[in-house]
Amino acid sequence: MPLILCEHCSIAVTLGQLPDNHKASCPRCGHVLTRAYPNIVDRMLIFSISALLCLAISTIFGFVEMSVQGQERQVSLLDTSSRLAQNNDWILAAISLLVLIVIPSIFAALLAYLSFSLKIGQAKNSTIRLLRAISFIGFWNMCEIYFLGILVSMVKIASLAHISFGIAFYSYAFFVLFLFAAYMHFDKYQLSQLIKKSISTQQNKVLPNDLA
Amino acid sequence: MTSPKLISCEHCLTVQSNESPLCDFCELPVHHHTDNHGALQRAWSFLATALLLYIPANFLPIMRTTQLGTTTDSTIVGGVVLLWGHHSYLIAGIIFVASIFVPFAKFLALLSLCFAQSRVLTLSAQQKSIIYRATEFVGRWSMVDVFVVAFLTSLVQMGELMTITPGPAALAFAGMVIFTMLTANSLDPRLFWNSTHE
Ligand SMILES: [Zn+2]
Ligand SMILES: [Zn+2]
Repeated sequence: MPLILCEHCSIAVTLGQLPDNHKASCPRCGHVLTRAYPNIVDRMLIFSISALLCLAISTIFGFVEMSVQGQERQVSLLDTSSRLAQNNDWILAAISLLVLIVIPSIFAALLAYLSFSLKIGQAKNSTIRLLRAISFIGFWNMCEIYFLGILVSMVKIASLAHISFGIAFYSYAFFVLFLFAAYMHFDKYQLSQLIKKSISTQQNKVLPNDLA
Repeated sequence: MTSPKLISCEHCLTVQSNESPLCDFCELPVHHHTDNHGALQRAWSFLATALLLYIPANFLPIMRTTQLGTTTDSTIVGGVVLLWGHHSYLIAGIIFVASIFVPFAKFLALLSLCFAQSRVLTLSAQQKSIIYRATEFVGRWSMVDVFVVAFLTSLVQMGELMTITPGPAALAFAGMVIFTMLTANSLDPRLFWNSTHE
Protein backbone atom coordinates (compact mmCIF):
# COMPACT_ATOMS: atom_id res chain seq x y z
CA MET A 1 0.00 0.00 0.00
CA PRO A 2 1.37 3.47 -0.88
CA LEU A 3 2.44 5.63 2.04
CA ILE A 4 2.36 9.43 2.14
CA LEU A 5 3.60 11.83 4.82
CA CYS A 6 1.32 14.81 5.42
CA GLU A 7 3.07 17.97 4.15
CA HIS A 8 1.67 19.96 7.07
CA CYS A 9 2.09 17.66 10.08
CA SER A 10 4.38 14.79 8.97
CA ILE A 11 1.98 12.04 10.00
CA ALA A 12 2.27 8.85 7.91
CA VAL A 13 -0.94 7.97 6.08
CA THR A 14 -1.65 4.82 4.09
CA LEU A 15 -3.54 5.64 0.93
CA GLY A 16 -6.10 3.19 -0.39
CA GLN A 17 -7.34 3.20 -3.96
CA LEU A 18 -8.78 6.70 -4.55
CA PRO A 19 -11.80 6.91 -6.88
CA ASP A 20 -11.57 9.59 -9.61
CA ASN A 21 -12.21 13.17 -8.44
CA HIS A 22 -11.99 12.16 -4.79
CA LYS A 23 -9.53 13.64 -2.33
CA ALA A 24 -7.70 12.18 0.62
CA SER A 25 -7.32 14.42 3.68
CA CYS A 26 -4.96 14.12 6.60
CA PRO A 27 -6.72 12.49 9.58
CA ARG A 28 -4.80 14.68 12.04
CA CYS A 29 -4.64 18.22 10.60
CA GLY A 30 -7.14 18.06 7.73
CA HIS A 31 -4.66 19.11 5.01
CA VAL A 32 -5.63 17.75 1.57
CA LEU A 33 -3.02 15.08 0.82
CA THR A 34 -3.93 14.32 -2.75
CA ARG A 35 -6.77 14.45 -5.24
CA ALA A 36 -7.24 11.83 -7.97
CA TYR A 37 -7.97 13.43 -11.33
CA PRO A 38 -8.82 11.24 -14.33
CA ASN A 39 -6.47 11.83 -17.31
CA ILE A 40 -4.40 14.18 -15.18
CA VAL A 41 -1.50 14.37 -17.67
CA ASP A 42 -3.69 15.00 -20.74
CA ARG A 43 -5.67 17.69 -18.94
CA MET A 44 -2.57 19.46 -17.65
CA LEU A 45 -1.02 19.36 -21.10
CA ILE A 46 -4.11 20.73 -22.88
CA PHE A 47 -4.71 23.49 -20.33
CA SER A 48 -1.08 24.62 -20.18
CA ILE A 49 -0.64 24.65 -23.98
CA SER A 50 -3.90 26.60 -24.34
CA ALA A 51 -2.66 29.04 -21.71
CA LEU A 52 0.61 29.60 -23.60
CA LEU A 53 -1.27 30.16 -26.87
CA CYS A 54 -3.59 32.71 -25.25
CA LEU A 55 -0.62 34.54 -23.73
CA ALA A 56 1.07 34.68 -27.15
CA ILE A 57 -2.10 36.17 -28.67
CA SER A 58 -2.27 38.71 -25.81
CA THR A 59 1.17 40.08 -26.63
CA ILE A 60 0.28 40.79 -30.27
CA PHE A 61 -3.02 42.66 -30.15
CA GLY A 62 -4.28 45.81 -28.43
CA PHE A 63 -5.16 45.42 -24.77
CA VAL A 64 -7.24 48.39 -23.62
CA GLU A 65 -8.18 51.66 -25.32
CA MET A 66 -9.44 54.74 -23.56
CA SER A 67 -10.70 58.05 -24.85
CA VAL A 68 -11.21 61.30 -22.98
CA GLN A 69 -12.73 64.28 -24.83
CA GLY A 70 -11.68 62.97 -28.22
CA GLN A 71 -8.15 62.17 -27.13
CA GLU A 72 -7.43 58.46 -27.53
CA ARG A 73 -4.87 56.23 -25.97
CA GLN A 74 -4.20 52.56 -26.51
CA VAL A 75 -2.04 50.24 -24.43
CA SER A 76 -0.76 46.78 -25.25
CA LEU A 77 0.09 44.16 -22.66
CA LEU A 78 3.80 45.03 -22.80
CA ASP A 79 3.02 48.77 -22.52
CA THR A 80 1.76 48.15 -18.98
CA SER A 81 5.38 47.97 -17.84
CA SER A 82 7.24 49.95 -20.52
CA ARG A 83 5.14 53.08 -19.87
CA LEU A 84 5.90 52.81 -16.16
CA ALA A 85 9.60 52.53 -16.99
CA GLN A 86 9.37 55.67 -19.15
CA ASN A 87 7.94 57.45 -16.11
CA ASN A 88 10.92 56.22 -14.07
CA ASP A 89 8.67 54.08 -11.88
CA TRP A 90 11.20 51.28 -12.21
CA ILE A 91 10.02 49.06 -9.38
CA LEU A 92 6.37 49.16 -10.42
CA ALA A 93 7.47 48.50 -14.01
CA ALA A 94 9.44 45.46 -12.89
CA ILE A 95 6.55 44.22 -10.73
CA SER A 96 4.14 44.59 -13.67
CA LEU A 97 6.44 42.76 -16.08
CA LEU A 98 7.10 39.95 -13.61
CA VAL A 99 3.51 39.49 -12.49
CA LEU A 100 1.75 39.87 -15.84
CA ILE A 101 4.20 38.13 -18.18
CA VAL A 102 7.45 36.67 -16.86
CA ILE A 103 6.29 34.57 -13.89
CA PRO A 104 3.05 33.22 -15.44
CA SER A 105 4.75 32.35 -18.74
CA ILE A 106 7.52 30.39 -16.99
CA PHE A 107 4.82 28.80 -14.82
CA ALA A 108 2.74 27.71 -17.83
CA ALA A 109 5.83 26.54 -19.72
CA LEU A 110 7.00 24.37 -16.80
CA LEU A 111 3.53 22.84 -16.42
CA ALA A 112 3.48 22.13 -20.17
CA TYR A 113 7.00 20.67 -20.10
CA LEU A 114 6.20 18.41 -17.13
CA SER A 115 2.98 17.07 -18.62
CA PHE A 116 4.60 16.64 -22.04
CA SER A 117 7.49 14.58 -20.68
CA LEU A 118 5.00 12.39 -18.81
CA LYS A 119 2.81 12.12 -21.90
CA ILE A 120 5.63 10.73 -24.03
CA GLY A 121 6.90 8.62 -21.13
CA GLN A 122 10.28 10.36 -20.97
CA ALA A 123 10.41 11.58 -17.38
CA LYS A 124 14.05 11.83 -16.25
CA ASN A 125 15.60 12.11 -12.82
CA SER A 126 15.74 15.87 -13.42
CA THR A 127 11.95 15.91 -13.99
CA ILE A 128 11.52 15.27 -10.25
CA ARG A 129 13.02 18.70 -9.51
CA LEU A 130 10.22 20.31 -11.53
CA LEU A 131 7.68 19.43 -8.83
CA ARG A 132 9.30 21.76 -6.29
CA ALA A 133 10.09 24.39 -8.92
CA ILE A 134 6.44 24.51 -10.00
CA SER A 135 5.19 24.69 -6.39
CA PHE A 136 7.55 27.60 -5.75
CA ILE A 137 6.57 29.56 -8.84
CA GLY A 138 2.89 28.75 -8.18
CA PHE A 139 3.23 30.42 -4.77
CA TRP A 140 4.50 33.66 -6.36
CA ASN A 141 2.21 33.64 -9.38
CA MET A 142 -0.29 36.50 -9.05
CA CYS A 143 -1.49 37.13 -12.62
CA GLU A 144 -5.12 36.50 -11.63
CA ILE A 145 -4.83 39.19 -8.96
CA TYR A 146 -3.35 41.64 -11.47
CA PHE A 147 -6.24 40.85 -13.80
CA LEU A 148 -8.71 41.65 -11.01
CA GLY A 149 -6.76 44.89 -10.53
CA ILE A 150 -7.27 45.74 -14.20
CA LEU A 151 -11.03 45.17 -13.85
CA VAL A 152 -11.12 47.38 -10.75
CA SER A 153 -9.15 50.08 -12.63
CA MET A 154 -11.72 50.04 -15.42
CA VAL A 155 -14.55 50.64 -12.95
CA LYS A 156 -12.56 53.40 -11.22
CA ILE A 157 -12.12 55.45 -14.39
CA ALA A 158 -15.38 54.47 -16.10
CA SER A 159 -16.96 57.79 -15.14
CA LEU A 160 -13.99 59.81 -16.43
CA ALA A 161 -13.21 58.15 -19.73
CA HIS A 162 -14.63 55.84 -22.36
CA ILE A 163 -13.01 52.41 -22.24
CA SER A 164 -12.97 49.64 -24.83
CA PHE A 165 -11.28 46.26 -24.62
CA GLY A 166 -9.09 44.76 -27.33
CA ILE A 167 -8.56 41.14 -28.36
CA ALA A 168 -5.56 40.88 -26.03
CA PHE A 169 -7.76 41.65 -23.04
CA TYR A 170 -10.08 38.72 -23.73
CA SER A 171 -7.28 36.32 -24.58
CA TYR A 172 -5.49 37.30 -21.36
CA ALA A 173 -8.67 36.48 -19.44
CA PHE A 174 -8.62 33.02 -21.03
CA PHE A 175 -4.90 32.73 -20.25
CA VAL A 176 -5.64 33.29 -16.56
CA LEU A 177 -8.42 30.69 -16.62
CA PHE A 178 -6.40 28.04 -18.47
CA LEU A 179 -3.39 28.56 -16.23
CA PHE A 180 -5.59 28.13 -13.17
CA ALA A 181 -7.12 24.95 -14.64
CA ALA A 182 -3.65 23.53 -15.42
CA TYR A 183 -2.38 24.32 -11.90
CA MET A 184 -5.50 22.77 -10.36
CA HIS A 185 -4.38 19.46 -11.83
CA PHE A 186 -0.89 19.87 -10.41
CA ASP A 187 -1.20 17.29 -7.66
CA LYS A 188 2.31 16.67 -6.37
CA TYR A 189 1.58 13.18 -5.10
CA GLN A 190 -0.18 11.87 -8.22
CA LEU A 191 2.49 13.38 -10.46
CA SER A 192 5.38 12.09 -8.33
CA GLN A 193 3.94 8.57 -8.67
CA LEU A 194 3.69 8.97 -12.44
CA ILE A 195 7.26 10.30 -12.70
CA LYS A 196 8.57 7.43 -10.58
CA LYS A 197 6.70 4.87 -12.69
CA SER A 198 8.02 6.45 -15.89
CA ILE A 199 11.64 6.46 -14.65
CA SER A 200 11.35 2.91 -13.32
CA THR A 201 10.04 1.49 -16.60
CA GLN A 202 12.72 3.29 -18.62
CA GLN A 203 15.61 2.15 -16.43
CA ASN A 204 14.18 -1.25 -15.39
CA LYS A 205 14.83 0.09 -11.92
CA VAL A 206 13.27 -1.63 -8.92
CA LEU A 207 10.08 0.17 -8.02
CA PRO A 208 10.14 1.86 -4.62
CA ASN A 209 7.96 -0.13 -2.27
CA ASP A 210 5.37 2.62 -1.91
CA LEU A 211 4.27 2.31 -5.53
CA ALA A 212 1.04 0.49 -6.10
CA MET B 1 0.30 6.36 15.01
CA THR B 2 3.28 8.61 14.20
CA SER B 3 6.60 7.07 13.48
CA PRO B 4 9.33 9.69 14.05
CA LYS B 5 11.79 7.66 11.99
CA LEU B 6 9.96 8.22 8.72
CA ILE B 7 10.78 11.12 6.43
CA SER B 8 9.36 12.18 3.09
CA CYS B 9 11.60 13.36 0.24
CA GLU B 10 10.65 16.94 -0.67
CA HIS B 11 11.31 16.31 -4.34
CA CYS B 12 9.69 12.96 -5.11
CA LEU B 13 7.64 12.40 -1.90
CA THR B 14 9.12 8.91 -1.39
CA VAL B 15 8.61 7.90 2.24
CA GLN B 16 11.76 6.42 3.78
CA SER B 17 13.64 6.06 7.02
CA ASN B 18 15.77 9.10 7.87
CA GLU B 19 19.12 7.28 8.05
CA SER B 20 20.59 8.43 4.76
CA PRO B 21 21.17 12.10 3.85
CA LEU B 22 20.11 11.32 0.27
CA CYS B 23 16.72 10.14 -0.96
CA ASP B 24 16.46 6.40 -1.71
CA PHE B 25 14.77 7.02 -5.02
CA CYS B 26 15.89 10.31 -6.57
CA GLU B 27 19.19 10.65 -4.65
CA LEU B 28 18.59 14.34 -3.93
CA PRO B 29 19.30 15.59 -0.38
CA VAL B 30 16.46 15.06 2.07
CA HIS B 31 15.48 17.92 4.35
CA HIS B 32 14.96 17.39 8.07
CA HIS B 33 12.34 19.65 9.59
CA THR B 34 13.92 20.43 12.91
CA ASP B 35 15.34 23.93 12.55
CA ASN B 36 12.69 25.77 14.52
CA HIS B 37 14.91 28.54 15.80
CA GLY B 38 16.36 29.83 12.51
CA ALA B 39 13.01 29.67 10.75
CA LEU B 40 11.31 31.49 13.60
CA GLN B 41 13.91 34.25 13.64
CA ARG B 42 13.45 34.75 9.91
CA ALA B 43 9.66 34.83 10.36
CA TRP B 44 9.95 37.48 13.09
CA SER B 45 12.22 39.74 11.04
CA PHE B 46 10.00 39.49 7.95
CA LEU B 47 6.94 40.22 10.07
CA ALA B 48 8.58 43.24 11.75
CA THR B 49 9.51 44.65 8.32
CA ALA B 50 5.95 44.14 7.08
CA LEU B 51 4.55 45.90 10.17
CA LEU B 52 6.89 48.87 9.64
CA LEU B 53 5.79 49.18 6.02
CA TYR B 54 2.14 48.96 7.07
CA ILE B 55 2.29 52.49 8.53
CA PRO B 56 3.37 54.44 5.39
CA ALA B 57 1.22 52.08 3.28
CA ASN B 58 -1.87 53.36 5.05
CA PHE B 59 -1.06 56.99 5.74
CA LEU B 60 0.76 58.10 2.59
CA PRO B 61 -1.08 58.58 -0.72
CA ILE B 62 -1.16 55.52 -2.96
CA MET B 63 -2.28 57.37 -6.10
CA ARG B 64 -2.07 60.91 -7.44
CA THR B 65 -4.57 62.10 -10.04
CA THR B 66 -3.95 65.33 -11.96
CA GLN B 67 -6.97 66.53 -13.87
CA LEU B 68 -7.06 69.91 -15.64
CA GLY B 69 -4.45 71.36 -13.29
CA THR B 70 -5.90 70.04 -10.03
CA THR B 71 -4.00 67.34 -8.19
CA THR B 72 -5.81 64.91 -5.87
CA ASP B 73 -3.96 62.49 -3.61
CA SER B 74 -5.78 59.43 -2.42
CA THR B 75 -4.89 57.02 0.33
CA ILE B 76 -6.17 53.44 0.49
CA VAL B 77 -8.96 54.29 2.91
CA GLY B 78 -9.74 57.46 0.93
CA GLY B 79 -10.04 55.38 -2.25
CA VAL B 80 -12.59 53.07 -0.65
CA VAL B 81 -14.62 56.01 0.68
CA LEU B 82 -14.56 57.65 -2.76
CA LEU B 83 -15.75 54.48 -4.52
CA TRP B 84 -18.51 54.05 -1.95
CA GLY B 85 -19.58 57.64 -2.54
CA HIS B 86 -19.76 56.93 -6.29
CA HIS B 87 -22.08 53.99 -5.55
CA SER B 88 -19.52 51.42 -6.78
CA TYR B 89 -20.36 49.22 -3.83
CA LEU B 90 -18.96 45.98 -5.26
CA ILE B 91 -15.56 47.50 -6.10
CA ALA B 92 -15.51 49.40 -2.80
CA GLY B 93 -16.20 46.07 -1.08
CA ILE B 94 -13.42 44.25 -2.98
CA ILE B 95 -10.88 46.96 -2.18
CA PHE B 96 -11.99 47.15 1.45
CA VAL B 97 -11.61 43.40 1.92
CA ALA B 98 -8.36 43.09 -0.05
CA SER B 99 -6.58 46.22 1.18
CA ILE B 100 -7.90 46.87 4.67
CA PHE B 101 -9.50 43.78 6.17
CA VAL B 102 -7.18 41.04 4.82
CA PRO B 103 -3.86 42.73 5.75
CA PHE B 104 -5.15 43.46 9.25
CA ALA B 105 -6.46 39.93 9.76
CA LYS B 106 -3.27 38.49 8.32
CA PHE B 107 -1.14 40.49 10.75
CA LEU B 108 -3.22 39.19 13.66
CA ALA B 109 -2.89 35.62 12.39
CA LEU B 110 0.86 35.82 11.75
CA LEU B 111 1.50 37.56 15.08
CA SER B 112 -0.42 34.86 16.96
CA LEU B 113 1.48 32.11 15.09
CA CYS B 114 4.87 33.72 15.77
CA PHE B 115 4.03 34.32 19.43
CA ALA B 116 2.78 30.75 19.75
CA GLN B 117 5.99 29.39 18.20
CA SER B 118 8.02 31.59 20.54
CA ARG B 119 5.98 30.09 23.41
CA VAL B 120 4.53 33.41 24.52
CA LEU B 121 1.04 32.34 23.53
CA THR B 122 -0.44 28.87 23.93
CA LEU B 123 -2.27 27.49 20.94
CA SER B 124 -2.94 23.86 20.10
CA ALA B 125 -1.27 22.40 17.01
CA GLN B 126 -4.75 22.06 15.51
CA GLN B 127 -5.49 25.77 16.01
CA LYS B 128 -2.12 26.78 14.57
CA SER B 129 -2.76 24.59 11.53
CA ILE B 130 -6.13 26.21 10.87
CA ILE B 131 -4.72 29.74 11.23
CA TYR B 132 -1.78 28.89 8.97
CA ARG B 133 -3.98 27.50 6.23
CA ALA B 134 -6.26 30.53 6.39
CA THR B 135 -3.32 32.91 5.88
CA GLU B 136 -1.51 30.87 3.24
CA PHE B 137 -3.48 31.86 0.16
CA VAL B 138 -5.46 34.91 1.24
CA GLY B 139 -2.77 37.54 1.88
CA ARG B 140 -1.61 37.72 -1.75
CA TRP B 141 -4.97 39.21 -2.81
CA SER B 142 -3.98 42.40 -0.99
CA MET B 143 -1.73 43.16 -3.97
CA VAL B 144 -4.80 44.14 -5.99
CA ASP B 145 -4.59 47.84 -5.02
CA VAL B 146 -0.93 48.02 -6.07
CA PHE B 147 -1.82 46.51 -9.43
CA VAL B 148 -4.67 49.01 -9.85
CA VAL B 149 -2.21 51.87 -9.36
CA ALA B 150 0.38 50.30 -11.69
CA PHE B 151 -2.16 49.70 -14.45
CA LEU B 152 -3.83 53.12 -14.15
CA THR B 153 -0.43 54.81 -14.28
CA SER B 154 0.45 53.03 -17.50
CA LEU B 155 -2.93 53.77 -19.06
CA VAL B 156 -3.84 57.28 -17.92
CA GLN B 157 -1.04 59.49 -19.27
CA MET B 158 -2.89 62.23 -21.11
CA GLY B 159 -0.89 65.25 -20.08
CA GLU B 160 -2.94 68.23 -18.88
CA LEU B 161 -6.21 66.43 -19.47
CA MET B 162 -5.70 63.62 -16.98
CA THR B 163 -2.59 61.97 -15.56
CA ILE B 164 -2.26 59.34 -12.85
CA THR B 165 1.00 58.75 -10.99
CA PRO B 166 1.75 56.30 -8.16
CA GLY B 167 2.15 57.61 -4.62
CA PRO B 168 4.79 56.40 -2.14
CA ALA B 169 2.28 54.08 -0.44
CA ALA B 170 2.11 51.87 -3.53
CA LEU B 171 5.63 50.54 -3.02
CA ALA B 172 5.26 50.40 0.76
CA PHE B 173 2.08 48.37 0.33
CA ALA B 174 3.67 46.00 -2.21
CA GLY B 175 6.61 45.49 0.14
CA MET B 176 4.28 44.85 3.05
CA VAL B 177 2.36 42.12 1.18
CA ILE B 178 5.57 40.47 -0.03
CA PHE B 179 7.03 40.46 3.49
CA THR B 180 3.88 38.90 4.96
CA MET B 181 4.07 36.22 2.25
CA LEU B 182 7.71 35.60 3.19
CA THR B 183 6.70 35.37 6.86
CA ALA B 184 4.08 32.72 6.12
CA ASN B 185 6.61 30.94 3.91
CA SER B 186 9.22 30.70 6.64
CA LEU B 187 6.78 29.21 9.16
CA ASP B 188 6.96 25.46 8.60
CA PRO B 189 3.59 23.95 9.63
CA ARG B 190 5.33 20.64 10.44
CA LEU B 191 7.01 22.35 13.38
CA PHE B 192 3.62 23.14 14.96
CA TRP B 193 3.18 19.42 15.50
CA ASN B 194 6.80 18.54 16.32
CA SER B 195 6.96 21.04 19.16
CA THR B 196 3.97 19.46 20.90
CA HIS B 197 6.00 16.30 21.44
CA GLU B 198 8.98 18.03 23.04
ZN1 LIG C 1 -1.57 16.49 8.48
ZN1 LIG D 1 13.38 11.75 -3.57
